[in-house]
Amino acid sequence: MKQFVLFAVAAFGFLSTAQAGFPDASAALGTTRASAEFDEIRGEERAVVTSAPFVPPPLNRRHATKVLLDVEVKEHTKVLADGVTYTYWTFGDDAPGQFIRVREGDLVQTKISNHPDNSVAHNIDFHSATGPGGGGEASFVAPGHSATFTWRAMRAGLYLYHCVAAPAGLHLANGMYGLILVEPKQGMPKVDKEFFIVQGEFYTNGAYGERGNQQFDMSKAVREQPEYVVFNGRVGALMGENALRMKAGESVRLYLGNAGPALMSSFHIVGEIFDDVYGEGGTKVNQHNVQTTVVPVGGSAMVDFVMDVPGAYQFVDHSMFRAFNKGAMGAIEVEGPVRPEIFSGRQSQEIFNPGTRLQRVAAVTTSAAPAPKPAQQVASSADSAIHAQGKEVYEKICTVCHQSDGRGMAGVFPPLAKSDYLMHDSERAIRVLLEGLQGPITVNGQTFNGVMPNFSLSDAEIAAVLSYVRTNFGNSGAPVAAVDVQRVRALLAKAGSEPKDRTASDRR
Amino acid sequence: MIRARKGVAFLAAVTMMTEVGSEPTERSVYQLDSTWVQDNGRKLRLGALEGDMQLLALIYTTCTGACPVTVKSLQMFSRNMPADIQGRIRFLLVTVDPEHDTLAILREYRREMKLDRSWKLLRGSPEDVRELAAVLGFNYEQIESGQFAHSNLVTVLDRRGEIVHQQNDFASDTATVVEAIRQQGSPTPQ
Amino acid sequence: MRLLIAAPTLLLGAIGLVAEAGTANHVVHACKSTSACRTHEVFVPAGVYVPFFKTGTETRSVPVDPICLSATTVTHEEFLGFVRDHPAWRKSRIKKLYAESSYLTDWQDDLTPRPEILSQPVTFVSWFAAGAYCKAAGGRLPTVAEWERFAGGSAPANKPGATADDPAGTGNSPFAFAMGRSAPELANTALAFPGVWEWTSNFNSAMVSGRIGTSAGANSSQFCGDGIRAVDPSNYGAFLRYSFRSSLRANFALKNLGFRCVREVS
Repeated sequence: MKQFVLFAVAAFGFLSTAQAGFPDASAALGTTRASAEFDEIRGEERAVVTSAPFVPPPLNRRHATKVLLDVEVKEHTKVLADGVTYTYWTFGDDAPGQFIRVREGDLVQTKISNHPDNSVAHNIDFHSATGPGGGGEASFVAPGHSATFTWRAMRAGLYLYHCVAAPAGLHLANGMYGLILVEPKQGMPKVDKEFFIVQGEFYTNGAYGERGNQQFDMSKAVREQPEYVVFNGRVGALMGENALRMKAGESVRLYLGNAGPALMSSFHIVGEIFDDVYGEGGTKVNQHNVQTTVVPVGGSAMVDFVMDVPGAYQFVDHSMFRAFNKGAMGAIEVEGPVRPEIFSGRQSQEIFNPGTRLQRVAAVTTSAAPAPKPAQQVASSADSAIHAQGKEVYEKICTVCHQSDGRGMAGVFPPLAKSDYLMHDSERAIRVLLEGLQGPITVNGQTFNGVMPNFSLSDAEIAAVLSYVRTNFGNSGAPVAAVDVQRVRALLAKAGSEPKDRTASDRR
Repeated sequence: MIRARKGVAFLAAVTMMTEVGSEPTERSVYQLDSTWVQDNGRKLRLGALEGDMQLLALIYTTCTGACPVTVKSLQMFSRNMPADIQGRIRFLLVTVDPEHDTLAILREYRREMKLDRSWKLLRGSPEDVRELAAVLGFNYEQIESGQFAHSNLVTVLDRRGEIVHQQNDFASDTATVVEAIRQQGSPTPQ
Repeated sequence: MRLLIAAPTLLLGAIGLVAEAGTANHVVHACKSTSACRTHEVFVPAGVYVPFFKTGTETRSVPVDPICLSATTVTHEEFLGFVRDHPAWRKSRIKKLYAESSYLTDWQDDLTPRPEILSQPVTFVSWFAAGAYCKAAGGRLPTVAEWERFAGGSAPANKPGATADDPAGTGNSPFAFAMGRSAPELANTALAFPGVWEWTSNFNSAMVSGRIGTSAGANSSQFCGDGIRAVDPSNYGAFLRYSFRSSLRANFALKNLGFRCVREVS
């Protein structure tokens, strides 16, 4: 195919040489062919661009035009993560560069300017351009210089653009990439909200999170082991205040790109299903009801969906270590009325211990203890079983901090062994297990100022573990019954301070 | 496809021509302070080329790839030029391998390639060749004896020696060259 | 024990480079050549340059003659002396062919660099101006082969930004490592790299990462092809240097591009 094209070009060159003696004929041929093959270019306009994560509005233009696009390359130090800086190379101010929106058939006159303060040569390769290097060669430019070239947006779709100057991997790993949407002539199907997200990697000499200004690490790059895998150029670019915000019921389109330069992305919104996926950023919806879509390195995808249920959502590269340990995570905040008919939220929680005698006994204990004087009743046949369950819960959850001997850790984790704080008030102890505990407390004359989460234990579990600690480690107190826990839980709920599911919120 | 390419190339040509602006002599390549020897043994300073438009290519005679194609396509162009630009163009070949390409070898090359009197073949010192190449933006590097990695660039110089058009792969798009030459107007005002 | 072994090596190094008297033949030779160099020059012994890009599959090796090399790049003050003596190279007079409009843009006028930059490397100078300066000083610009040989010492693979003086690599350019680093045998000399790119006489030789003027024969050097042709594809410093050089035109005058001269050893 390549051979053929080369031949065709050469042949045409000679043909036009041969015909050049008849300039009029040659010119006429040119016009006819141009109008037959391409849309007429009418007028010219500045390119419509926006900074991440926002996308320019639909063009709603019915004709092809000449688009004037200015791109400035900057090398500057920016924040990669809290306390971590890095010298980015960027199109415009940021990685990713601005989102560009043009229409199929447009002529895009691109002027790339390499800032005089920059240290190296740069260029730009539009995956949306048809021609050698995507413009890489035509736009290759030294610091303090500009280069202009023009390309025709022959094919609609969502495309990556990036710097391809040698060594191309370094330019990509330093942040030189962005997305350009070539709208189909009829436009994209209308949606209520659009955002764009580009995944990229950073290869820092320091480990993830290591503070200070970080340098590019070549050996990590060559081994394709980034310290950071992030959405929109830095850790947390789309978290917290910068989360994507939308209303339940709105139709949303995400324009996804992956600059890599090494890792394929498995883009996933936790708790949402994509209605339509334009696979690999082409113009065709090639799948419905997709949980995770692949965004190839140097490629893109578009996903359409409607968030039905309000709340906080995360999106990730589902290669989970990247999400948890390298930064590939972002958030979506959805406003709207609750939709219990679609999603209830947590209704109840019980311990699940399949097949053990303890669980069954505990369940019996809970339901078979309606009497107002539980302590005495409990202290009968089920006694040793409850002790065993309490021990089990203690060893599974509590030993991490309070240690297996209940002595805690001086100054950090308060002791349970011979603990005045624990033994003084059993109701307070129940509250601590229901709600968690935060702030300064005094135990056996020592002050502790830490955080204990609630562990979402059931009434029976709390009763069992409290009974266990109150009768062990040198403590000699009355055991606690599940009904006592139930009563405190009800009191707290009534007081309007429904125990918070803190572990769940911590996960967000 | 082909038309698109030509369109873009044409734009580039127009841009280049508008850049070359109001103070012509300051940009003239003929300012270079170098002396060349033609294959006929006569010395030449670039300033002597003033008055004619030149199509200039850097080549070497042992080149088996791009250079013969360039020379042949220039030759074909010279034979099929549109009437309105005929007689306004001279051709200039400069060897990038003066060590090997002696005057005798250049004379032999002229015979072999059947280059008529509208062609000049020049030999200069390695430093002067490097300088001329630098002015033109022509990159080359000797890889081994008789072998160079090099650009494939043809330059159009106007009558005062200013660069008015440059093009890779001359053969692929001569119409743009014709256009560039026409833009320069005719040698004598009409 | 270790000291005892190291001492003679150090001593030999000192003889070779500082021109102490010696008896062995090669030392005498080096001594002669070294004494030919001036105070602010460093003697670079003959050696071999391995071009970063292979020819086909072959790694080339090019012999490089000994030279006397300016220990550091030319300063504004030195360049001021040059334009005083050679008015044609003053910013108001320089021909457009020889330099673009940014030539000496940080000078207030023809003969007034800002006082605070006098001792800093002169930049915003074109290839022509740099070459003319060296010629007037009795030398020339180094070739790519020479420059790469004395300044292409490679960075530790995992810390390309680091240098001996600046272990964290936090110098004025994050990629200062690409802008020059003494060859190992010149490590103890006065040779210095102030963190600017430097002109070479044949900067327009190797073809990297696309620009007008690449031939069909050089297509394999484009972009990703560069990696395949490189002698050491993980030497990103070299990629940056070759890429930068190939982005230049002879009339460019850039903020971070200076030069130094060499003189051939007679």
